[in-house]
Amino acid sequence: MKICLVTACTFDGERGTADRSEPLDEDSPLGVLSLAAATRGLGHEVTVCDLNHFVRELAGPGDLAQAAAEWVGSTSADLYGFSTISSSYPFTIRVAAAVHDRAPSRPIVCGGPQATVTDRELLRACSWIDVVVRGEAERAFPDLLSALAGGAPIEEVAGVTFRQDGVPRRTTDAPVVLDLDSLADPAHDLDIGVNRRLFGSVEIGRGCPFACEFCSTNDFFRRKFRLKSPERVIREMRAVRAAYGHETFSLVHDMFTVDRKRVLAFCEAMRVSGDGMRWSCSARTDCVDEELLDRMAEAGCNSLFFGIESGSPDMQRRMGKDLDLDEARRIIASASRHRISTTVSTIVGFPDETRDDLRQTIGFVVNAAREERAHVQIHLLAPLPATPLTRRHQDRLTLDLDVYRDTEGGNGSAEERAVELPLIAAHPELFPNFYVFPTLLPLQYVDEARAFIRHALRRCRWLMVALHQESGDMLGLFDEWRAARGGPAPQGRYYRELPFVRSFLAFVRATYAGRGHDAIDVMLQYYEGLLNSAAQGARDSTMRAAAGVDDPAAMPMLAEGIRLLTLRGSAIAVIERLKAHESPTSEEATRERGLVVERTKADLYQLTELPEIPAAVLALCDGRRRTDEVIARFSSSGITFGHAPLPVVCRATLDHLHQSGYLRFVSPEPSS
Amino acid sequence: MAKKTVRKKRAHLAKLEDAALKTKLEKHFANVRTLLDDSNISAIVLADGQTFKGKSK
Repeated sequence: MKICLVTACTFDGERGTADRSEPLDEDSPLGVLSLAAATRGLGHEVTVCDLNHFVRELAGPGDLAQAAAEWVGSTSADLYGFSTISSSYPFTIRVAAAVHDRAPSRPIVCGGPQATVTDRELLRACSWIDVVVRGEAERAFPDLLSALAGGAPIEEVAGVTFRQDGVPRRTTDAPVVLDLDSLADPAHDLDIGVNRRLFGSVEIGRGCPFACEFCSTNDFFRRKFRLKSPERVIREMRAVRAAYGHETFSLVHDMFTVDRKRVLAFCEAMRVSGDGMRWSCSARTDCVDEELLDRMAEAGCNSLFFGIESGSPDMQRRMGKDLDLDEARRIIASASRHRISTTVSTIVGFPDETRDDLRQTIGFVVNAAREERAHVQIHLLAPLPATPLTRRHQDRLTLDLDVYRDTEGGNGSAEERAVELPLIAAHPELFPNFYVFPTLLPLQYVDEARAFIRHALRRCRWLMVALHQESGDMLGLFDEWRAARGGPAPQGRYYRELPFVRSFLAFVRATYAGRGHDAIDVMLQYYEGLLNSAAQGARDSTMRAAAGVDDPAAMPMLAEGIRLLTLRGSAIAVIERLKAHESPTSEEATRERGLVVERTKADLYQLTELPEIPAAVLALCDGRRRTDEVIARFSSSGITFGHAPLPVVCRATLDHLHQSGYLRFVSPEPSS
Repeated sequence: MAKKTVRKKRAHLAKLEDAALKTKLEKHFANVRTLLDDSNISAIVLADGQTFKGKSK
């Protein structure tokens, strides 16, 4: 048979433009690629349509689902298989409907996490979908194809849901794949985005034994923890590296580090291999320790995803996660020391979350931001279908249009939302993740606090850390901010945009500056300086480059891309103190410094704090003074450098700054 | 992420003839502190607040 497998789009409502968001498209679609390999191995002809690729690269204006269906339908397959996840489920269903309209005789099969837990509801609601494959599909899907081709009756295929006399009927669950080494390598050759990705993806195992109340992963992979052998994983990594050049890998598993001995065995195999490949994985802070982190780092681990979920010990117990938060803080810090970056992911908006719980989660997040390699996230809880939490509150979920627009807005275009919203409103049983739980705290308040903290941390991380260190209560700070601006912020993108950060810095200046909070004062100046100064632009067309300090007509000015901030206090010293949970010394907080700022290619600010003499000289180089004028002003400024003649010192410093790339010399173009 | 980096700026004082002053200035110029800050204060719109390893379910 000719089979077309369609990946689930991973829309991210915060990427792209206001008209259309871009998918977060980092990992290869391993589930579909594994299924493609299993299916191809039985002699079927398989194509993979990557909807993320379609949205990013091919889609034009107009109805996205219709256009995607035209693209998918152009494969003229005998059967279409759609992978599903919660965030793009309405879109997938619409694409499937449009594919069915074009080729009504071709079976449409859905699989993946969302269809697995909404199988019967999906078949009741969507007449154009014929079968759902539940859970891991590498065995069930080929069996289904055989049945559809006239083999065994479909009711004998384990792990599927189909219609019998118009009524959805489940067959018995298919067993999970116990020996993951027995699976074929994923068909990376069918991944159209593989060369564009920043890293390769290799599945290292399946199944998480934990039972967090909000999580849906157990419904798909069950709780049976399984790993591929180290030899198998390393072989797959080498194959991907050889074919596509990736040296860094995402090792995909919801919870790799459950079995310490097996993690150590993998690390040892990686170390012995000598390949030098780097890798990331998911972990729990109570499933790693100092020694394990050491071995993981030695074996090439460069990044860990930690689902912390809540900074409140009470919430930890209530949601069934039960992490020791002090241990979590230590592990995040330890990972940083081992040069392993961490994603510290938290969730707010739990039904029984109190103000104190929220305050503790926000405090945990801002505190984690002190770790130089920690990337913090605060998500709004989504009611994923069939989780214990959703089951308990199923009848009390509501469709909150503001939250829908801001956080789960599908592909983000108003037209698409207008089409999808009635679908979502009509089928809460299919799309509960677009609804919200009933909460003790007003959800708009929780969501606004989340936006405030996230974006303020992105904009001015070290000012937020300083505020946390001084005040200890970031939710209280949010309340002060909200009161100062006269109530809730406008919905939508307000916190993502520049006016927010201007207002926020003005608020901090009015509320906290000059009140003895040294770290806040220095960080505020630093971020105000960054915001209010532009990097030196390219050369004015009326100027020409001059040779250097010996050119008599030359006028020194900052090199392109360089900014010079003159601050009272040392931004670098204060940041180092904040990292160590310390306060700056009086000298660090008050002595005037020259800070050179460059934006690096990796979009980081590279800060260089200059010694007194270069800072003073650079501050005089405004592109309007000639070299001799700079030297004269410097020499009469009152600065001393032992008994050295100041003109000589200034000239040598100018030359040094020029050679170091901070300065350029220009001359006016001679008029013709 | 903010980390210590060190993109050292070598002192360029070849033209200076006074050896003692040259040494003293070299020592002075070497006294720099550097650091990387990943804040993104001036972007007109922040693109993505939840980069890397956003799980999709």
